[in-house]
Amino acid sequence: MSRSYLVSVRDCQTRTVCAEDHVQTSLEILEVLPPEQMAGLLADELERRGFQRGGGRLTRAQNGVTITVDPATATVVVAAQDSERATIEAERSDRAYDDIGPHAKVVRDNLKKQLEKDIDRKANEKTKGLQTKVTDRLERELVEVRQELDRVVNRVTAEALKRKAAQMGQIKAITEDPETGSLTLVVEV
Amino acid sequence: MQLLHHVGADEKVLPIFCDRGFPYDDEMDTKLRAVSRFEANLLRLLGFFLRREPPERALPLLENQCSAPPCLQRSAVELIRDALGKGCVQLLARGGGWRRERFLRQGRAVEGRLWERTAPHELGLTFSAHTMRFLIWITANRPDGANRPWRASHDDLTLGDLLLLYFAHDGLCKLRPGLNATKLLGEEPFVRHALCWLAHPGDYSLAPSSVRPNFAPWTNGVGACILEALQPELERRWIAVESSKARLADPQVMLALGAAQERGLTAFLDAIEREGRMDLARFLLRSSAALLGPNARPEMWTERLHLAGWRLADRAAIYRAATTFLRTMDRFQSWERRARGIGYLDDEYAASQLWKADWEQVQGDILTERARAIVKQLDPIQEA
Repeated sequence: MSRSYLVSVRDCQTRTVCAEDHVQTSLEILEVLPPEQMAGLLADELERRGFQRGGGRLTRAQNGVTITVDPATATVVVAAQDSERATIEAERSDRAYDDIGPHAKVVRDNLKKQLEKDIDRKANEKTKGLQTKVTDRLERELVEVRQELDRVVNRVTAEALKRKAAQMGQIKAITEDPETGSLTLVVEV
Repeated sequence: MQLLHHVGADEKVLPIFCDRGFPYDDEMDTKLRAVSRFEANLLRLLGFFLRREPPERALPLLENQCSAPPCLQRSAVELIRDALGKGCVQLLARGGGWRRERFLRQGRAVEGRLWERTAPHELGLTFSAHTMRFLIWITANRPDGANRPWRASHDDLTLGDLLLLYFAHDGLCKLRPGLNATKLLGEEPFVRHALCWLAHPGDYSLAPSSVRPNFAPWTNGVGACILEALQPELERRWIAVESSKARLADPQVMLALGAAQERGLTAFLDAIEREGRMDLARFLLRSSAALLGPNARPEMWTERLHLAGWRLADRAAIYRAATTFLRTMDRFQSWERRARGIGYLDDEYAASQLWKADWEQVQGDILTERARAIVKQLDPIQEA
């Protein structure tokens, strides 16, 4: 009568899982002034709001999200990324006809291969979980970013209109309504 | 309808029903031609490609292989020649050549039917041996079979060959899902066939990125005349493709379709802009007029897409693919704006006036606004 042996293999790996997400859009900047002047006004307004200049772009990080604006093209990239170290454990067992013989070796090798796949699968699940968190964070932050960008565009347009009006004649009166964003200029030509 | 009897090499009588006058001329009507079974199958398939035979008759012939003879009989060759000459011209005339339209001729806008805009003797088509080789191959082989698909260099084909291959491609598309000719369509010359790209962009979603459709034959001369005649057909195709997006649920399919559309459209618009033949894009303007009605909304392009669990970056790419056609309106508007600045004494005056007239006829500015509004609504930042 033959006996079977239980072969058990366990593995524990520490992996770094990363997730990234981003959206890109263009600001609708009216061409009130020549493009380079509009880009200058946009850059000034962004700087006033805490954006840092670097390599022709302006960047600001907030709540785990990075906002990058290229004033020359009025392109905005809002990106979020995260990474974490994850300890992943897996265990597999099977039966062999011997305990240290050739069959046990074959079984052990097969188990190791399966174990590697299990760890990869678990790592993928962790990555997916982290990806969901990153995407959710970006989505939450986008609401605020959009509102702020709308305000930036309004400010830039208002400033450009003032400069344009000053070029046309003497500004007699300026009325701004921050609530509605309306701007009334009285110019004497 | 008349009943003709084709006597095969094995002396069996093969009855074939044909529409009157096709593919036989009056002289042939009085003198019945004897052809082999293979030749009869080939003629029937040719009739299907020329839209004279229903798909139900063509499918069994394409599914069942038939050994090719060493050569075709003279009578069969004459019938093929006759069918090609009459069938292609008839399809072009019926498809859109009969319409009184305005298109450019030597820098001037000329109005009339196709054969009034260009003298008929200048509209001749030439078919080379490649057409015959293709017809023999497709009669002898399954297009979706394991055999090596038919191949020929795109640059070696005449306009007649390319036109027949366009009709053949269209016919093979009608046989799906019963017959999948993806392998054949992924090879030269189909893979670079610009008309096929325009009419069936979805078939090129797997085309290698290095492959570009060759629009050179279709933007001048007889090729441009063919494109003029096919305008109504291409308009229907684009409306159908864009309408089908509402039923697409798989984001990967949408991405692939959008990428193929982008490649095809960019190559087409670049080519006609280079040649100053923007009037050849009229079918796209008319398609946009049909698609961008007052009630057009983003769901018409994205209704069934399952995007749960996708990254925002991926969602943006998928929406971009869904709106490939809509984003083309910006380019059309830039043509119109440029046309406004072209004066009477400029070379491009007639072309610009024609484009402005087409633009005004479909109310292009309103359509562009609607297209932009839809694209904007699908912007993830705007959605937030």
